[in-house]
Amino acid sequence: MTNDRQITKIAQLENLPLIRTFVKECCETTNLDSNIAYDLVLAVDEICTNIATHGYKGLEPGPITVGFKAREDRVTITISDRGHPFDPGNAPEPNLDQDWRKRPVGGLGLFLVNKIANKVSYESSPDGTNHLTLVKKLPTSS
Amino acid sequence: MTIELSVEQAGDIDVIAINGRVDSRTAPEMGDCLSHQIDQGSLYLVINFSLVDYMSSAGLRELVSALKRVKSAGGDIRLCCVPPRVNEVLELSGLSSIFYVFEDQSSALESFLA
Repeated sequence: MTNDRQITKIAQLENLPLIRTFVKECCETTNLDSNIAYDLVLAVDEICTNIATHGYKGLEPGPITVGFKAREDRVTITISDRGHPFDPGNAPEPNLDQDWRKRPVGGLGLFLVNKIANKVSYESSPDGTNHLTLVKKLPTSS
Repeated sequence: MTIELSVEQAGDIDVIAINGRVDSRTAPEMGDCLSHQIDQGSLYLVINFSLVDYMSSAGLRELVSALKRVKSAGGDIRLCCVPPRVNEVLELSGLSSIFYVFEDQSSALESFLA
């Protein structure tokens, strides 16, 4: 199984449905389980929403590039942008043990991403591009 | 891309049905609808998700925000007809512990009478 594709769009909320469709189609052409596909679409949507709403804050919206790479045992999705550096690993984890009074209203997007992906890593390249990599392990067929 | 929202009254309970994908673009519409009903004095809301096939954290944010408002005033929000994948998002995000979720709309309505 190999499938390497990528899409680049301007980081604006109206472009996110196109990115979601891209991820969905990549999953379909690699015959991924529909539940895994749904989760990957959601994870990419959450990250791209963050980039579109916060990543380019105060800047002219720039590009988001989403790369999709499928192998037998894993899917690797890279999301690159040229906005403000942001490592999701540094985002505070919401406390979900609290009752409704103390529950945070937001902050669930990156939490969902970390629940869905087996590995999330961030890297900033010398030219200022942010690269976020999600790895989703696939169940092995026997 | 938009969502459709309809509001019906069932006694003191507002039944809000959502049709479409709740994402970062459409969630504010859902939030505005919930806020409007709460501003009008509604305290008991049932939200029917039967025609929602996708919800991101933008939708969760609006749900939690509305829940806090009605609960602070003694009311509640009950969810019904939540498709499995949307329900998975509720569970993954830990919201299934603060929202009552019912299989069908009549059960959600009856829960307010119990």
